[in-house]
Amino acid sequence: MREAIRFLRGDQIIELFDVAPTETLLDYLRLRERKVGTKEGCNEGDCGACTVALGRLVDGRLVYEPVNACIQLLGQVDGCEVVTIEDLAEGGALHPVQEALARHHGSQCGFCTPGIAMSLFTLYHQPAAAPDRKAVNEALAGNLCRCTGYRPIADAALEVCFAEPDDKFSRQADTIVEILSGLRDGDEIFIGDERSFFASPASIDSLADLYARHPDATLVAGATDVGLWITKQLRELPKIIWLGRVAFLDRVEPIEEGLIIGATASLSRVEPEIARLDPDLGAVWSRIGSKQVRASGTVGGNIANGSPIGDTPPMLIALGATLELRKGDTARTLPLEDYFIDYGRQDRGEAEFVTGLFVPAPGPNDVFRAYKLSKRFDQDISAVMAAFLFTVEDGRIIHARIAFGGMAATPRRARRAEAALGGAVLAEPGTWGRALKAIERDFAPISDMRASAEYRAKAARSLFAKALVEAAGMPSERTRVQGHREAAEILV
Amino acid sequence: MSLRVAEKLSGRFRYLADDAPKGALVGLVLRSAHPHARISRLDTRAAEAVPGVHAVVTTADVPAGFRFGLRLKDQPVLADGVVRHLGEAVAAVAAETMEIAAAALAAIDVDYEILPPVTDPHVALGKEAVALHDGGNLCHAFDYLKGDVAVALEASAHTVDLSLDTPRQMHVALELEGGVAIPGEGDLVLRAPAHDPHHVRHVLSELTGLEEENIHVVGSPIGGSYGGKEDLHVQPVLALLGLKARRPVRLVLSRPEAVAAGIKRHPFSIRLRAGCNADGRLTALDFDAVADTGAYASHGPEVLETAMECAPGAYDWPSVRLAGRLAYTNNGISGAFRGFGAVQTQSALELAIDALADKAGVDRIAFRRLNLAAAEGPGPLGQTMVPMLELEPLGEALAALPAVPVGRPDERFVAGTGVALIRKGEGFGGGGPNGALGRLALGFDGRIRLETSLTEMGQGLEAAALAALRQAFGVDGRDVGLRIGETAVGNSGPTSASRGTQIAVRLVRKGAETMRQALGAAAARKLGGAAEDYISGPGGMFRADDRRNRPDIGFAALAEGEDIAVDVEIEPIETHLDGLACHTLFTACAARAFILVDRWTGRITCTGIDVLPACGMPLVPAAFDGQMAGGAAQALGFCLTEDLLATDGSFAARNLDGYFVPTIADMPPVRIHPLVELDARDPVGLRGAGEIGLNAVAPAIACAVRDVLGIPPLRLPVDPDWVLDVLEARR
Ligand SMILES: Cc1cc2nc3c(=O)[nH]c(=O)nc-3n(C[C@H](O)[C@H](O)[C@H](O)COP(=O)(O)OP(=O)(O)OC[C@H]3O[C@@H](n4cnc5c(N)ncnc54)[C@H](O)[C@@H]3O)c2cc1C
Ligand code: FES
Ligand code: FES
Repeated sequence: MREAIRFLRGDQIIELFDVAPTETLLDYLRLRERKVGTKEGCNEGDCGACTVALGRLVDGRLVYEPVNACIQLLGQVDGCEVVTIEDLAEGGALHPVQEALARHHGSQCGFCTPGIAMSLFTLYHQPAAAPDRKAVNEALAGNLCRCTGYRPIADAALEVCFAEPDDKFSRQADTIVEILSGLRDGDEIFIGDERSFFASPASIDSLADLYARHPDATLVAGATDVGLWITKQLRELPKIIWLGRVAFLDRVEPIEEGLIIGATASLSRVEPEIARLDPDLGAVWSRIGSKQVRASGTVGGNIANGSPIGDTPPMLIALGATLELRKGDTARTLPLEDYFIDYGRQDRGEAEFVTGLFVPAPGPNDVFRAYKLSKRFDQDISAVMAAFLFTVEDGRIIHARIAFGGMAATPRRARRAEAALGGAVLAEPGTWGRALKAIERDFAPISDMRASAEYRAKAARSLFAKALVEAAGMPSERTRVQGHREAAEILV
Repeated sequence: MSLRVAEKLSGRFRYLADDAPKGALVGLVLRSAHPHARISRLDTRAAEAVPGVHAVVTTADVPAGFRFGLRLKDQPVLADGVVRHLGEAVAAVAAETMEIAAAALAAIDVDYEILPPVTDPHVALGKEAVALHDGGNLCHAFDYLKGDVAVALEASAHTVDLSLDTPRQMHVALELEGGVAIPGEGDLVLRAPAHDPHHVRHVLSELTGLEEENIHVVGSPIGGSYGGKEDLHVQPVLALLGLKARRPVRLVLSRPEAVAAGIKRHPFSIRLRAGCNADGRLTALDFDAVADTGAYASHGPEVLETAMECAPGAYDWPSVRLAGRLAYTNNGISGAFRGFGAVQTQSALELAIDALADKAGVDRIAFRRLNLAAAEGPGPLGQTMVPMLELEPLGEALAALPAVPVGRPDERFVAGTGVALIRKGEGFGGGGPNGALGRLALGFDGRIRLETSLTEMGQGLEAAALAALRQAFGVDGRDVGLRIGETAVGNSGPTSASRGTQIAVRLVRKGAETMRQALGAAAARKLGGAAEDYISGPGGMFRADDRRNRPDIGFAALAEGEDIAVDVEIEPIETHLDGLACHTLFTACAARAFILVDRWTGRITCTGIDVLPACGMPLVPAAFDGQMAGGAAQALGFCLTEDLLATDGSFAARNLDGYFVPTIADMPPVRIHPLVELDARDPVGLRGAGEIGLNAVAPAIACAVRDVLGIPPLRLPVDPDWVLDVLEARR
C-alpha cells in the first residue's frame, strides 16, 4: 500500500504524501508549485483557461490528453505525466504550437493563451492526419477566447498540428513510457485516516471492500461532476474513493453482439468504438462537453450521476443497454432505463457501484438516430437529447425504442409514441401522424435557461419527425448530420 | 516576435493579480443574495474574532456618504444601509488563508429586510415606482428634435414601425476582476486591471484620505476587458482592507461573483417609426429608447448619449426626434461595453432601413447609398464634425463585394444575407476626457520609450505604439520601449471609447519632431557639430551626411548623463451643442453577414462575415484584423446566443455554463476588407479599431435574420422558439 501519489513532472518524479482529498490540480500548480501560467477563468470546467496536458499510457502508447485542472483532483494524476504551459519551450525556443500562435497573432490579452496552447499541444501529439478544421474545432471546443474570434488560433492549429510531432516530448517518448510504466505498480493508495482520505483501490474486490466499510464515501471517476460539487457547491467531501486505477474497470471491449464498456472508461476512449456501432453515436459523443471533459469524464459517471440531461443515457436506452452493478460480492444487471427512478433517485443501494454496461449493436433491420439539441454547438448541456431505434420489416416499423433526455426528471422512454408507431409505414408519412401526436402526451417538459417548455415540446416532435424522414430515406443526406450546427460543417 | 507575446505564450507573463508579496492576505467579499434589501443589522464582531483575520471592513470604514462613479458618482464602496443589486458588496475580510477568510465571511451577521425589486425599466420610470436613488429612477435623459416628425411621417409614402429589445450581454473577459493592495508607511500601491489608472488613484485618494502622490496605481496589463473593467471593481475594497490590515492583500473574484456583480451591457428597449418617400428618400425618424442601467450609473449616461447620437445612423434625415431614457433598476449594473450603446440602436435602425428599402422597392445597399449623410456634416445631431468621406466609398465597396456561396439552401436550411453601414463617434462626447498627456524619453537602457498611462488589454496598443516609435525614429524593435498603464507617468485619460491606440500613436507622432531634435542636440553635445547633423537610426545616432552601417553613437551611450525627454500633450477636440454631448470625430464601417436558418430546430448558424472598416492604414495589420474578428465574435453572441436573463433581479446563469459565449465552432470565416485611405483633410489620420467592427457586424446579422424571416426580430439574441413560430405562421 502506498501513502503517496506519484507523477512525472518534467524530468522529475514527484511524490506527494500530503494530498487533501479534494485538493485540485489547479490549486496544486498555482499555490504549491507557484507556477501561475495555468490560469483560472471559471473554476468549473467551462472556459479551458486551466487546461493542462496529462500524458498517460494507453495500450502501451503514450497519449497526451487535455484536462481542466480546475476540476481535476490532484490524486487523479497519479501515474501520469503532468505537462503545463511552462514546460513546452525547449531551452529558449518556443514550442511549435506556441510559435504558430505568435506568427498568426493568436494571442491578444493572452489570458486564454496558455490553455489554448495546451489544447493545441495535445492536438499536435495526436496521430498525424490531413489538416482538418473540424478536428481543430473539436480540439478547441473547450477553450473560450473572448478576444480573437478564434480565427488566428484556427489558422495556427491548421499550420502546425497535423504533421509528425517533433518536440522534446516526441523525442523522449520512449523514456517517458518507461517511467510511466514504472509508476504503474498496482498498489492500493490510501492517504489520510479513517475520517478523511483520498483512496485509490487497485482492484474491484478491494473497491467493494473499501466502499462497504465507508458507504458514506464519494466515488470519483473523472470528477467532471464531482469536481463541480467541490468548486461550485463548496461541498465538504472528506472521503474520496477514486476509481481511476481499479483494474479492468476501464475496459472497452467490442464483441460480436455489441460493446462492453467498463464504468471508468473515459468518454474519449469509448468514442471510436461506440462510433463503430453507429455514426450518430459517434457524432453525439464528440459533442459531450469538450475534449477536456471527455478525457476525464466516464460513461459510468455519466450514468451514475442520474442527471436528466446526461447525453449518453437516452442513446444507450434506445439501444437497449443493460447496466451492471456490484455490491460486496454480489453483482446484478438491469435494463438501463430501470436504473433511473426519479429526479435524484436511482436504483443503486448503499455501497453499491456501477461496474459497466453492455450496449447491443443495432441489428441489420434497425435504424438508429440520435440528436443533441443545445443552445450552443459545443461545450453545452443538451436542451433536448433524443434517440430513436426503429426496427423495420418490409417498410413497416415493427418495433421502436425512443428515449429522450431533457424532457422529464429522468432520461425516459416515449412509450406512447413507441406504441403508436407500431405498423407505421415509412414510405407513407400519413401513417406517422398518430405517433407524432402521441409524443406530445409522453412528456411534460419544464422551462429553464436552455429552452422553454414549449420549445422542448416542439423540438421533440420535430426531431421525431426528422428521425422518421431520415429513416424513410427521403431527403438529402444532409439531414443525417446531427444537432443544429450541421450548416457550419458545410463551410469547414 | 515581441517579448510580451513570447511571455504570454510561454506562461511567464504576469497579470496583476498573479503575484502577491510573500505573506499577502486573502481578501473575500460578502455579497448580498438579494437584489433589493435594507440592511437592518450588520455585526462583524464574530468575524473579527476569528484567529487569522486581520481586517473586516464595512461601510463604517468608508467616509460618510462617499460615492464613486465614472462621471455620475452614485455608487457606495460597500452597501450603505441598502443593497440595490444582486451580489452587491456588503462587507469584506482579509485573512491569512482562504479557509479562514471563508469562515470569517460566514461569521458576519447580516439581517436583510427584503424589498420588492424594481426590475422593469419602463415601470421604474413610472410615477408609482419605488425610487432607488434620491433623485428618482431617471438616471439620465436625452432628447433631440429637428423638424416636425409627426407631420413628415404622415406625409411619407412608406413608414415602418419597429421594436427591438437587446440583451444584457456579459463581457466575460477570461481574467477575473482582482488585484493586490500593498500598503506602506503612509502610502499605498494598488495593482489591478484598470482603463484609467489616474482616475482610480483619484477615487482611492478621496476614499482613503491619502494624498494622490502617495498612491501608486498600476492598471496594465489587463487579461481582457471590453469595457467591463472600466469601472473600479476590487480597488476600493482592496485599498480599505490593505490599509486596515496593514498587510498586503490579494483579492480575486470568483466567476459567480463576477457574473452576479460585474458590469454588463445595457439592455435597450427600442421603439421607432421611420419613413421614406416613394423614390426611397428618407423623411423622418421617431426613435424612443429606454435603457436599463441597473443599480448604478456607471458609464450609463455616456452610453445613452452615444446610443442616441448613433440612432439616426449614417443617414440624412430631414426630421428626427430622439428620446432616450436611462432607468435605475435592481437588475445588476450595466456600463461600458465595446459598442457602447450604439450597437443596440444601430441594430434597430438598420433593420428599419431594410424594411423601408423593401417597401420602396429599392435594393438595400442602393437605398443606403441614396440616403447617406453629407460628408462635410453636419453630424447626426447637427454638430460640426471632422469631414467623413468614407461613407460613400464604403457603400460602393459593400455593393462590389463578391457574392459568396452560402452553402446550399434546401428543404432544411433557409439562407439569408444582411448588410449594415454605420458610423460611430470616437473618443468621448462633449466634455469627456479626450485630452492626453504623455512623454517620449530616452532611457538608460538605450530605448526610446513612450510613457503614457493608457493600458494594454489585448487590443494591441503596445504593438501599435512600438510600431509608431520605430517608424518615427527609423529604429529597430530593440531601440524602443514603453512605460504604460500606471500613475507614475502623465495622465493620458481613459483607455476606452476606441481612443487608446489612436491616442498612443498620436502621442508618438506629435512628440517625434521635438524628440528627434533633442536626440540630435544630445549627439551634438557628445560628438560635436550641430543637432541637425544627426539623425536617429537603428541602434543610435548617425551623421546625416555620412551614413554608415554603424551608428556614430549608440542610444545607451547617448543617454549617459543626459535627460532626453519631451512632454507631449494632445488637446481635446470638443463640441458642445446646447448642452448635448456629441462627437466631432467619427469612424465608419460596413459589414455583411450570411446565415442559415434550420427549419427543424429554429437554430441560426452564421456562415460568413465580411467587415469593411474605414480606420486608415493599420499599423499592425494582424492586430487590426484581430480586433475586427474578435468584435465579430462578440457581435455574433449579441445577436444569436448571449443574454444574461434576469428574473426579479436575479440572473438565470451563475457561471459560464449557462451563458453562451461563442466557441470556435460557432465562428464562420470572417473576411476583413479595410478601407485604408482616410480623407487627406482628416486631422487625425487614423481611427481606433476596438469597437467599430462589432458595431457593424451586429446589425448585419440582425438584418440577415430579417432577410430570412421577412419580419425583423423583436429581440436579440434571436430565440429559436420564435423562429419556429414565424416559420410555422408563414407556412
Ligand atoms: C464543462 C462540462 C461540460 C459537460 N458537458 C456535458 C455534456 O455535454 N453532456 C453530458 O452528458 N454531460 C456533460 N457534463 C457532465 C459530466 O462530464 C458527465 O456527466 C461525465 O460523464 C461524468 O463522468 P465522471 O467520470 O467525470 O463522473 P464523476 O464526477 O467522477 O462522478 C459523477 C457521479 O457518479 C458517481 N459515480 C462515478 N462512477 C461511479 C460508479 N462506477 N459507480 C457508482 N457511482 C459512480 C459519482 O459518485 C458521482 O456521483 C459536463 C461537465 C462539465 C464540467
Ligand atoms: S478555470 Fe475555466 S475550465 Fe478550469
Ligand atoms: S486572447 Fe484574450 S481571451 Fe483569448
